[in-house]
Amino acid sequence: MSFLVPGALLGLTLLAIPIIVHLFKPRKMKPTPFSSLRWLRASHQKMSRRIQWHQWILFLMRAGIITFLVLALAQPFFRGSDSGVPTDRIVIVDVSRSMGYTTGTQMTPGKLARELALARLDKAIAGDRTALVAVDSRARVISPWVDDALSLKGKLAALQPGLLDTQLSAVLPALQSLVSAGDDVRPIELVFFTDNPEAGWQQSAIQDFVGYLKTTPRQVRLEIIDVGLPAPANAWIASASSYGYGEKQFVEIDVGSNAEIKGKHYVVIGGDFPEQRQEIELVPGRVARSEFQLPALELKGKIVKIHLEPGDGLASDDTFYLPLSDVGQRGVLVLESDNDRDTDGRLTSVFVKTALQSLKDKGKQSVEILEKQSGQALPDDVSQAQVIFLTGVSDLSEPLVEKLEQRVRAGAGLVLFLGGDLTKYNAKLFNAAQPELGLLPFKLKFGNASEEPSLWTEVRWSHPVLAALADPKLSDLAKVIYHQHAEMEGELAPADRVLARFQDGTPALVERPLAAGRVVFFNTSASTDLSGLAKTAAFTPLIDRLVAYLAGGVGKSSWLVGDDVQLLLKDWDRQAPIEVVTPAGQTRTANARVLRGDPWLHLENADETGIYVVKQADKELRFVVNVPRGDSLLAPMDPAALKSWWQPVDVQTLTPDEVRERWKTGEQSWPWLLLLVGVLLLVETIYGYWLCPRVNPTATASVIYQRGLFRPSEEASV
Amino acid sequence: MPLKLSMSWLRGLGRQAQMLFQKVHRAVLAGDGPKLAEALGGNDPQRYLDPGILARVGFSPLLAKVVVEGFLNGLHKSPFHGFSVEFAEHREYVPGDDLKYLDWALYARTDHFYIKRFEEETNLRAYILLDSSASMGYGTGLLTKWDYSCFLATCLAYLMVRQQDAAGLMLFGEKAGLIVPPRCRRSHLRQLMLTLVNQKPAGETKLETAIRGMVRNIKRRGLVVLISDLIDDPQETIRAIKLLAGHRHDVIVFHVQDATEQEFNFTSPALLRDLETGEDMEVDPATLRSAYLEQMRELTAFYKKGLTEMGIDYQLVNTKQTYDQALTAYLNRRSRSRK
Repeated sequence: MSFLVPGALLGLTLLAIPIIVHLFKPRKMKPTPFSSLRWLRASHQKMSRRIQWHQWILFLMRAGIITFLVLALAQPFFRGSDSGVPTDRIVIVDVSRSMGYTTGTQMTPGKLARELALARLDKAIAGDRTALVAVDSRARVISPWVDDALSLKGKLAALQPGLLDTQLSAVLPALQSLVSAGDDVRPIELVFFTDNPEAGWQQSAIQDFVGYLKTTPRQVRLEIIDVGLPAPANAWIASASSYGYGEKQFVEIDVGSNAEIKGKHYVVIGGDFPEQRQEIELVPGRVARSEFQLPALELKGKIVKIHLEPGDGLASDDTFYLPLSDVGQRGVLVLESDNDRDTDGRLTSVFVKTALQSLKDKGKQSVEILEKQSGQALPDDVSQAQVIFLTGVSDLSEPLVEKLEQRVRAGAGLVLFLGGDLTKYNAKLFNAAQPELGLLPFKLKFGNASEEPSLWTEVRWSHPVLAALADPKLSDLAKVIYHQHAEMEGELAPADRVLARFQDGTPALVERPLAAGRVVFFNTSASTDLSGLAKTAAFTPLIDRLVAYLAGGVGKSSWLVGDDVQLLLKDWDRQAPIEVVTPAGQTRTANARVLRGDPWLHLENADETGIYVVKQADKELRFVVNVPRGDSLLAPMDPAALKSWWQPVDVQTLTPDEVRERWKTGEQSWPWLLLLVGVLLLVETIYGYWLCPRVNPTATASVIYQRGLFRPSEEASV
Repeated sequence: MPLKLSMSWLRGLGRQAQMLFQKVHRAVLAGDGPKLAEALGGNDPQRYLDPGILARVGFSPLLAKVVVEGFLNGLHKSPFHGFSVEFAEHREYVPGDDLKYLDWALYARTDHFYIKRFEEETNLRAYILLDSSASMGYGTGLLTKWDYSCFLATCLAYLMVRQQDAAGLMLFGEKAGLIVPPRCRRSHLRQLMLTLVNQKPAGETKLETAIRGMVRNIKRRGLVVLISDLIDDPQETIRAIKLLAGHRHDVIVFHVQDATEQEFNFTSPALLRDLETGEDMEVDPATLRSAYLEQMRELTAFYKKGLTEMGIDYQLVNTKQTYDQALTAYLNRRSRSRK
């Protein structure tokens, strides 16, 4: 038993009052003279015992009233599993998109999480400290440590599901800082209120955190309250892209579903185009694809709004905005070197070039492929490219590397594979002075390169590049075996995103945003030297997605919720204010940032989905923001796997019912104590005034007259 | 000194008593208002034997006389008539003489009517032993046991003197106290009452000690009237009273109790304080009453049995009782007393 307000226990000193009164009470009863007590003495002992007996009962009742009243004020707290030891508790509430899943009849996971979290705050005992953290793809410390958990109720109730994907691992660095800021002795309790999706955890991040926890002497307990609905069905538009084929332009739409959903479903496109609709047959676990031919209109600047009918419990991913401004030829530069050959003597770039050519030939990608030897590439070649593939660095000159950096910062995308002489990567691409600004996300270590074959794990299938490749029927990307990879030396920059890891935790696929552009680093070769990636069926679609994704750097007009939007405003006035009208109709004013001579719009944290309009005088530009699709699958995490990842930390995954049952014995008892006080007060009153002879004495009617003879007394008339 | 009683003296005394009744009646009406007047509205002279009413007026020797004479007036058919006189001489009958004093035997012999004349005796010494312990100061309502007992003693003394007996007074508490030797003069009554007036009930009751002390001072056997609440060890009390009987005294015991002592009619818990010892005791009447009353019944039964076995009269007197009962008891005993 513990107390929420232990200071109130000082009130128990009031128990001394009835004792003191009993010991030192003034005689309130007026003595009544009586002739002699001789004949009463025989019965007095029995009488005394009865009085004492009554007094003891009265004393116990009064002491009980005081005790229970004090206890009620101290708010005792009983919980069967609690040791009663003050604990540092971090309440982590998932506010990701999937927490807003609604069925119309059941409580949303988000609301359920809030209710349970509020209940958990109520269970806090005296001495506990509580911190509140919200997490979706990013962690937000809503409140650092506080002693009064109930003060967090307001903040907790204000938490609402957003539009970002679940990335529970993102909270671990924040937890680490909270744990290190806490007491060194108290046990730590981490309580997650989440729908616990499979994609929400990253084993390597967990292991890093567990590694940290091992360094602390604090006992750590992890409770994951799984508030997810059982088998939630969802269909979503996984991706959409446009391509031209001759004079015709098409939109290709992939629709995913995680369960069998009854009824007909339609994909409807509209926006800047006349509405078209196609019925689509959803297959659980697979991606259904449909194609729409666009009307022969000027497509530049047009936006296609795609939505799925009918809507479902997770409506946010049923709509997709596809800008067509980047429809057209994309300049793809493949830098190669004669010195970079694989063990079969082929150029390391051969598979990339083949895939690109294939895409171009099939009209899948409208690309202009430029192949250049590293030593012969001109700065202009780099400047005109929107996507650059680098499969070896043997002949890269420093000016070219510098040009590459400039180009990427200006918005181009760089796809970096290992190949050729691997030892030159660190020297040419790694920025030792400022690792977060280099083209190579981390320093490679080959000395102890792992020889163990490995698969990708912790794949962020929600990433636009990988989203459509998660389907095992359409893609064998997940099955690729990587024979060898470079180990990571040092740390990744905070902005880097690990899209996949090897089983030993080494990053396998890393995306590094670099100013307006991005670098996608494959910790494997584009040839068959280090892995079977280049020979898989998924390789060409992967190149396709990479080109589509990275070509947006210049003229890019599609972002995801939570992204920092950087939009090139070519030939716009650099000084005049810029208005940004959000999809909700709100107008924001911004100033252009000049970067390498061009004005750029920088809009942090685009938090609405839809079409944004950027205006300056008579100029107007539109871009779209879509929700990420990582949560759409709604696949629950396997508790056993999660438990193994968290070893040796004690992890318990509990359903809401289990939680309620567990906390059932933890009801606060102060209302019952108050009721008991009232009952005792009533009993004491009845007992004291009607049953107990000692209480409330009244003067006896006996009046003594001691008057002498011959002297009539005035008192005689009393 | 023997006093000769005559019918004229008795008639004169009756007139005085009647005047006193009227005086008392007026005083009562003046002092106690309509309520008391209502209570005294009747003409029954017996109500003046009520100690409650007498206490409101205030005790006095004259009032004792009134009480006793009123009491004797009600005894015209009493078997006690003429108990204390002896034949002295004859005189010739004259009309108006009471025929019951006619000597029919002499008439048979002489054929003349003669009236018997009697001579009173004064050979009875009566000792009134009055308990003056503090417990006698207890009382509820209108008067204390002490008041009641004093007036009772006064009445008895008057009655004794009136019957030519010598009345003495002995006060006792923890030990034998003041002793007024027995005399049969009427003026002796005033001395007795002065003694009572100047005495306040105090101290504990040590009946055995007191009686042992007094027995030594009673040289001649006589009638001993013990007036006490008998709050002492019952065995010792019985033993002490038997000591009196052992000295060939006729003994009559008036066991005076207050109504509250007899009924224990406290209605609520109380802190009782012993008048003799000052000891306090919290009592719950509801709890104690039955046990107490049972104990009191046993006590009185014990006294009655123990004293009766020795030929001692035991009279339980309640301070609410009229005095006639006590006086009757005395006369009853007196008629059986040895001369």
